[in-house]
Amino acid sequence: MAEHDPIIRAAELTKVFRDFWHRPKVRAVDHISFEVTRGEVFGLLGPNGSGKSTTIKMILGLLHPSHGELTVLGHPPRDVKSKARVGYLPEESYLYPYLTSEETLDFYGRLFDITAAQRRERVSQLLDMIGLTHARHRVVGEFSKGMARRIGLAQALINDPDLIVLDEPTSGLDPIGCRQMKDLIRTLANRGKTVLLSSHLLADVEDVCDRIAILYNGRIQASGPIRDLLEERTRQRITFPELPADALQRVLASLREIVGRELEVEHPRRDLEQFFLEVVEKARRSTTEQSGVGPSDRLAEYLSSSSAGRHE
Amino acid sequence: MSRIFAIAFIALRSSIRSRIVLLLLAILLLVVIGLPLTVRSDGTMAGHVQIVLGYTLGSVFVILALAIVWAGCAAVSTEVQGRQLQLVVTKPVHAAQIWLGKWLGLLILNGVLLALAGAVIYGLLLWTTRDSVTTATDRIALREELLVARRPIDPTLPDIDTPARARLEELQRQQALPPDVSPTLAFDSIRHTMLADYFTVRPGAKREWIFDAPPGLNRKSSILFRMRFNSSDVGFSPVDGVWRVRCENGPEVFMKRDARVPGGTQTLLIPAGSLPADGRVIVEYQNLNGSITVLFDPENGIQLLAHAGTFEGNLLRTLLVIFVRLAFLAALGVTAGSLFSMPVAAFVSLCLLLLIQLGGYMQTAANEDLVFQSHHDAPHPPTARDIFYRRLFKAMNVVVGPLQGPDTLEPLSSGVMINVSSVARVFAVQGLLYTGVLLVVGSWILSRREVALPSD
Repeated sequence: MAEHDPIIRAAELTKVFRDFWHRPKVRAVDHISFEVTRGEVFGLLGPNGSGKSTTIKMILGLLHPSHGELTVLGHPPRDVKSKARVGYLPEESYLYPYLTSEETLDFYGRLFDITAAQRRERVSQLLDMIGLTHARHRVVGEFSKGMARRIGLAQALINDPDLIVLDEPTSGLDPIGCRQMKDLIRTLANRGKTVLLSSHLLADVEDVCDRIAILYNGRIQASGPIRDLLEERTRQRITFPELPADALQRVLASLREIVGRELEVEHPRRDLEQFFLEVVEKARRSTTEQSGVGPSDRLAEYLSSSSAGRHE
Repeated sequence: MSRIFAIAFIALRSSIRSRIVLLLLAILLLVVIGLPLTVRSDGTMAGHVQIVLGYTLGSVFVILALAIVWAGCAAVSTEVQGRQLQLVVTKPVHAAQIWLGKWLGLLILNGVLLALAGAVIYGLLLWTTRDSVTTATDRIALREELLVARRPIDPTLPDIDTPARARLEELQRQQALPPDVSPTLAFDSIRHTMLADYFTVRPGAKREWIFDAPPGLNRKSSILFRMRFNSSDVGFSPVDGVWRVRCENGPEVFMKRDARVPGGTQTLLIPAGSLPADGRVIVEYQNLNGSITVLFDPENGIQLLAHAGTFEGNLLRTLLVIFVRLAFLAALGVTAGSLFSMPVAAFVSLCLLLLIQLGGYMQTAANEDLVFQSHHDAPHPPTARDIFYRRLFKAMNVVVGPLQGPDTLEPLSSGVMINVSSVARVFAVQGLLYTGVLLVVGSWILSRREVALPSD
């Protein structure tokens, strides 16, 4: 696989679910084509039932395409060569409820044939990264949805994957968890990882994705770099520090001479997520008694160096 | 291998956490300890050993067999339903590794339970037959007949086929055969009568049986004769007779006169060192009754049993045979669970188990021509339905037949040697061939199956 080859390549990908008698029942994905390139964060966006999860499951080899071509890291999705370089976080916790956090991560590490010493090291770093070191001996079945989600994320990273597939990554997370997840996705992308995510939460996708495809009724309705899709090329916004009233009037007068019509002047607003995080951060700093359960800001050490292209 | 062991570990943990192991352990202990205490034997040591070994170990096998089939079905199907398999399948794991991991986990668990049950049964047997609670006669029976492994040697049969064929030809010449009896059936009937005659001792008469003792026959230890006979006396009164043993061209080495009640299995112990170093062994029975005919069973009615090994070795071989059968059943469950959802997989597996149990009937149905024609009053060529069923049963028997036997519990509890070759055969057929086929089929199903279908 060459450096510039797409990490995921789907051409005319179609999935038709059939009934017991093999009669077509639902066309969940209908002739979609897209490519995901190395190091980008690609988002599949769409309402429920639009075909996002079906597409992701075909990419992971959990469902077989009815028609079309699909390659992942240069191989068919069910090839173990590609699976060795993929990490997957499902929409819900599909973990074994009777295993502890440590056993869970160790188990998935063993499925990648990672050595015992390396597994021990990675499990510790991942538990530290997701802030669950204190719960390493607790069984996953006792966890809240958010905690189970973090373990799910950790298992997706145990093999230091080149491609990370995240199905509704912020589902079940509180705003802080959502922010951390989004920061982590960006950090991983900056480290050369390719991320494919699906979501119906528009703000999440907008925050982290480089490119998106919007699905509806199994078809791609729009796709491209998120900046290009959202940019209003017929309008412009100028932002500057607060001006005294007379200075502002002079600026507006000059602009009216050029633009020739009414201008809108308003104070920019922070988004609610940013405001919420500032409030919580402030409260956290002022609280003397710390719970110590928060995730660390550090990426697991073994994930810190870019691994892109080393499996060629 | 690391991946297989990782999945096996999960299968083990799943069973332990679901408390099925505790439940199984409780049931096994109840059976192993409770059965010998509640079921009363006929008062003989043979009866006691039959219950402790035959019934208890048989029950342990049935319980573990059902449990392993059930757990095997659940191992894959519940993970498909619970979606845990989705995460496993997205890792670089081959379908065969998933199948083998599940199978191995179940096998380890059931192997441990079987070993525990075997150890408890052995301990219980030693404890209930300890010197302080047994008589001297009991102890001899235990040492010489029951807690031992003896190799059975059947008497050498004379040529029966030639005179039987001659008799058939004579009947045909005389046109004395009934019109509705086929020559094959007539030959079988004549042969059977002649064979029965070889094992019949008329009043006042003698009969000799010759045993071609194998080269490995242990002549230094005691020799046991085991016989089953009936008499022509409907009152079941004891029959008086004399037993004589000698080697070919040698003097008599043993003689005993006794009166025995017909029915059941009886034994006669020839003390150690009685037989000379070589030569065929000849056993003679003299019927001392004036009007009673003694009829030995042509099937194992008289056997010589020579010391060939220890009871512990025999028990170990029996446990090995049970273990191999459990391995096959685990494979059956895991494969069914790979294809179907839990209730369907369990139903299909239990139906297959039933089919295997009916193997004996199928064999009879396939081999006995008359089974399909019995509804005709007169000889009649087989109908298309007869031919269809016969072929169907033959085909089914080809598949299911190798899964039958050998029965190791009866020989174990009666002190008969279970040959290493029978254990090897069970291992080769059920452990390697059939389990291997199920591995291939199960892996193929798993590799083709879409584990994230909305209906799952």
